[in-house]
Amino acid sequence: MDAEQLQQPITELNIYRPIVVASDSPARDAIEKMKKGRGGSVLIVDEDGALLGIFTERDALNKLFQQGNKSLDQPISNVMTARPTTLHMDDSIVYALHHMHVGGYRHIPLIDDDRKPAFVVSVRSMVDYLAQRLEAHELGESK
Amino acid sequence: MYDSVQEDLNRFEEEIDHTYPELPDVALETPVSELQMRNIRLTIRPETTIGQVVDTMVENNVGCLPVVDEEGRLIGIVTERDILLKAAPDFDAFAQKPTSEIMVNNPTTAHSDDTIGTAIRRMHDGHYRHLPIVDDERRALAVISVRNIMEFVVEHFPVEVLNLPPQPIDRRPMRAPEGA
Repeated sequence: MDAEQLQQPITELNIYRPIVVASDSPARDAIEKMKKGRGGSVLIVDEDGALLGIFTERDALNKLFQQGNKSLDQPISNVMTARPTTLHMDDSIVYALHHMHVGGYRHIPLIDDDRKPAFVVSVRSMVDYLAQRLEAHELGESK
Repeated sequence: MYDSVQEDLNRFEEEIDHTYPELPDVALETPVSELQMRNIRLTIRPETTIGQVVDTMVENNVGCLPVVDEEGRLIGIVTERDILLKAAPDFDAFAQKPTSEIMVNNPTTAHSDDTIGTAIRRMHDGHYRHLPIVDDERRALAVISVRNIMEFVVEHFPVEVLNLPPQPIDRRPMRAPEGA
């Protein structure tokens, strides 16, 4: 793995389809969808499907499950992170690394030109990519 | 004068070594104990309630806690994913239950002498986001996460990752000129 590979598009990573809910969905429904989809985040969209926010497992712990702060019937928009940092699918891997490092994000939505979410890239995507590079390296490929 | 300075600059640029050691080589040679790990003393017991686990995770900003016996030996781990999958959404019903009801028993581990490459492979193969690090007596020393691995990559390519504009240049918002 070298610096040039960081310039490859994010689509080279194991990105995944997002779990999507409407902004007026109860937090309970968002959590159920996250469980069913076994994802670490759900994306919240408006009536046109454009991205409004993100809600993660960590948000569930911090904002809903911690003792004395629980209301799973409130709309997910109350507890989501609004206007999350996003990238496009033709952006390079290095931008995902940059935002994950500087912003501390574990999940970054990839949106299209209409701000509709298409995929999510996660920190785990980086580990999977690195594992693949390690395997290729050991098989004798130079990069 | 200008040409001379430009020649010096060109020569200086050529002399700068922009190459790094191959990242896989570094990963396969560096012990996992050199990753920047936090909260290495943070452990819980199997009888700790799930409510206390959530509070500990939130207070320390961690997504995984090692569960240890009375001698500090690792017997399980509990992650925020476990809490979401097994205790949500009816969290009230689980808050007073012991961690032993939702923890993962005998998790895959890495030894503190194992390399970062070994840890990456185990996390990748097992689809784990966290990997406990243990000593010869299987005492819990730390937990590494996918974030630690990501930071390892950033440390290897600091110039490339850190010297970026906030957004790709072709998508930064266009600013109207002054007075427009």
